[in-house]
Amino acid sequence: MNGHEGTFKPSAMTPMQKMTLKYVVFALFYYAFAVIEGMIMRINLVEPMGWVDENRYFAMLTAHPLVGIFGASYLMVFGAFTFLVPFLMKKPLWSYKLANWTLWLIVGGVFVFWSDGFLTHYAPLYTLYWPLPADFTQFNPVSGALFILGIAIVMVGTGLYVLNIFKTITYTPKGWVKKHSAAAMLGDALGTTSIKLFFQGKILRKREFLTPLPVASIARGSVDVLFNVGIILFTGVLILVYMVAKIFGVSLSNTAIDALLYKNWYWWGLDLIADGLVLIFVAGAWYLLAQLITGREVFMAKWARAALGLELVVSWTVWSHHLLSDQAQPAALKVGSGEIVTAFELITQGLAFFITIVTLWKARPLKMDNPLKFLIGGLLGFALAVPAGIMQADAGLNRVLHNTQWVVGPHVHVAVLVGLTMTLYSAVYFLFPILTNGATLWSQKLANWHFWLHLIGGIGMGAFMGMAGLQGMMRRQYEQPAFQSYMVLAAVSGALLAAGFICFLVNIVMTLGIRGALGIFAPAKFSPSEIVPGSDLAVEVAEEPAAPSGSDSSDEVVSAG
Amino acid sequence: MDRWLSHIDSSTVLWGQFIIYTVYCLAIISLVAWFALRITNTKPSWFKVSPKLFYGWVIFLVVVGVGLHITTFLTIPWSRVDLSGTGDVKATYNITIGYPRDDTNTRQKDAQGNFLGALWTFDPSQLDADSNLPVPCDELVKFSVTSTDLTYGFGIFRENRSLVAQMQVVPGHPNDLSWMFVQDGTYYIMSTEYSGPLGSDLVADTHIVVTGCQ
Repeated sequence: MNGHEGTFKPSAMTPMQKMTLKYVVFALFYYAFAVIEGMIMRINLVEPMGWVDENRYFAMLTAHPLVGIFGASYLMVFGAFTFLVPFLMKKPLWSYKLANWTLWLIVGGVFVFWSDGFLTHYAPLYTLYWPLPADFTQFNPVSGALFILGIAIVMVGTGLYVLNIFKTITYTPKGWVKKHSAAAMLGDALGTTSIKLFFQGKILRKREFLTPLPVASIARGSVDVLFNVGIILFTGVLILVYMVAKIFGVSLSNTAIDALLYKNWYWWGLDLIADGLVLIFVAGAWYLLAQLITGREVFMAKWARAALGLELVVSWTVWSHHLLSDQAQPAALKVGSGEIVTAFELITQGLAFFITIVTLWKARPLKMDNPLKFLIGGLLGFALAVPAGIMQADAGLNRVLHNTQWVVGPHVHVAVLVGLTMTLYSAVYFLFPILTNGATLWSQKLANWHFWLHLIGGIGMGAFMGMAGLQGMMRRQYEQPAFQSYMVLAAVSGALLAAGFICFLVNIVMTLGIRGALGIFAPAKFSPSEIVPGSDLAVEVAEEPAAPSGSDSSDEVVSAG
Repeated sequence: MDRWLSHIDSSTVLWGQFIIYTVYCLAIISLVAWFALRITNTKPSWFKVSPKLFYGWVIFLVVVGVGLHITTFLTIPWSRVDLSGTGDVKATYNITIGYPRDDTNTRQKDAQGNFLGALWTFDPSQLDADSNLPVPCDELVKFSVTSTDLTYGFGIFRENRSLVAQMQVVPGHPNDLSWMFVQDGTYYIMSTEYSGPLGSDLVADTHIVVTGCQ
C-alpha cells in the first residue's frame, strides 16, 4: 500500500515532479490501450474471433497508431521535456498552468477520438486518403466529426506545449538580469545563429552555445511538432467541412479536392512526426542520456548539433518516399525527395548512433544499469529499423514492398517499440529517482525481465511481420490465412512485449504503492518554480547556465547547424 | 531492356533483400551485443576512437545511402522503366475499379439495402473465353488502371500469394504500371490499399494468364 520500503513520499514532491509523473501515468495508460488493441488484432490475424468483425477491426487499426503516438509517445515525451528544459536551462518553466492544460487536453482529446472509434467504428485509418474520410456510405458524418474533434483537441494541447517550450528557452524570469535576448536564445537553439556565422565566414571561430545540446534538440524537434499541428488542424478542418455539410443535408463534391495533391500534403505533414520530430527527439535523448550516464561531453558535440539541424531540414523535404508507388507523382520528386533526401536520414541517424556509442565507449568501464541497457536497446532498435526504411524508400524495391507487412514490421514497429520506446524507458529509469526523490525500485529482477521480454518481443514481432511481408502479406487486410504461421510467431512475440510491460507496471506500482500512486494527484505544497525539493529555480544562479556541448575543445570543426 | 536483366523476377529481388537484410541484422545485433559486453569491461581496449574514424563513418553512410539507389537502379529491371516512363510497350490493358453505379451514376445497393463494395471492371474485348486476361511473356505490357471514387491499390499476385508488383490507384490521375512477366502462370489481381471496411478484400474474378515463356 505504501510502496517499497516506504521510500516514496508524494507529500514531499514538488508540483513539477507531480505533473511530470502525471504525464507518465497517462502515457502508460494509453500505451496499455495500444498494447491491448495491438494484441487483439494480432490474435485476430492468427484466428479471426467472431466478435472482432471487419468494422471493429478497422476501427482498432485506425485508433491503434493514433493512441500510440498521441496518447502514449506524445504524453511521455512532452512530460519529460517539460521537466527537462527548465532542469537543463536552470530556470523555471514559463507556465506551469499551460503545462497542465497540455496534459489534460491531450488526455481528453485522445479519449474522445478513441471512444468515438470504439463506439461508432469510424475507420479511415491514420492515412485518411482522400476521399475515404468523407465517404459517408461507409462512415457516419457525426462519428467522423467527433473523431476529428478529438484529434483537434490533442493538437491544441500540443500547440500549447510548443509555446511553453519556446517561451521557457527564450524568456528571462522576473527579477533576473537579462543576459541574452529572446532572439539570441532562439537563434542558438534552432541553429540559425550558426547558419548566419557560416555565411559570414565565422563558423570556425570558437564560441560558447547558449543552450545545451539536448535543449537544442528539443527546440528543433518542436519546430516539426508545431508545423505538424498546423497541417493536421488544416486537414481536420477540411474534412470537417464535408462532415458538417453532410450533417446539414448538403453533399459536397469529393472531386473538388485533388486526391494526389492531398496525399502529398498529408504525407508532408505526417513525416514531420515520423521522419522529423521522432528522429530529432530520439537523437537528443540519446545525447542527453549518454551525457548523464557517463558524466562526459558528447563526442563530436558540434557535429551532433549540426546533424540535428540537418535532420530538421531533411524532415521538411522527405515526404515523397510515401508516394513511390503513385505513378502520377513526378519522377523528380520520387528520386529527389523519395530516395536521395531520404538517404540523409541514414546519415543523420547514423551519426547520432555513432556519436552516442562512442561517448559511451570513451567512458568505459560503465555499470550496466537500467538506463544504460535500455539506451543500448533503443540504439539497436533504430540501427535495425532505419536501414529497413531506407530499403523501402527505393523506387525499385518499393514496387514489391509498399503496403506490405515489411513496412509496418521491421521498419515501423521496430522503430517505435524497440527504438523509441526503449529510449523512453531508459529516460524513465534514469529520471525515476529524480522525480520520486530517491524511491528505490521494488525489484531489479523484474526490471531485467522487462528489458529482455521487450527487446526480444519487439525485434521478434518486427522480424516475423517482415518475413510475411516479403512473401506478399499486406498490412491492411482483415483475413490473410496464407500467412498464419508467421502471424502465430508474431503474436507470441507480441505476447512477450505485453508481458514485459506488465513486469514494468507491477514493478512501478509496487515501488510507489497504491497510496503513493494516488498521492501524485493530490495538490503539492511547494512552488512550481521549485523543480526538485530544495532547488528553487526562481532564484537566479550566479553563473550563466553552462552549455556542456558548446565547449568541447576536442572537436575539430565548428558546425553550421 | 537488357535480356539478362529482364529475366530477373520480383521474387528474386525479394529473396536478395531477405538475405542481405538478415545478414545485416545478425551483424548489427552481434556488434551491439559485443559493445554492451565490452563497455562494462575494466580491461583497456586496443580500439581507440579518433575524429578520423568519425569522418570515415560519415563517408561510409553517404556511400551506402546513395549507393543503394544506384545499385537497384542498375540491377532491378523495372526501376528504369518506372522512373523514365518509357519502354517498348506491346499491349495496354484498361482496368477500372470503383463502386458499382447505375445509369444515373447512383451507387448500387444489395437486396438488404446496403451499398455494394467496389468492383474491378475489365475491357471485355481484352478477355479470353474464360474471362481471364491473356498476357504475353517476355514482353513489356502496361496496366492502365482508373479509380472512379476512392484510392485503391493494384496488386498482381502469384498463386502462392506472393506479390509480383503493385501500384497505388489514385482517383483523377493516370495510374499506369509497365511490367514484364518472365514466368508462365496464372496471376491474380487484388487491391493493395485500404479503402474502408467495404474494400478490405478486393480480389478480381478475372485473372492474368501468362503464356509463351521460353
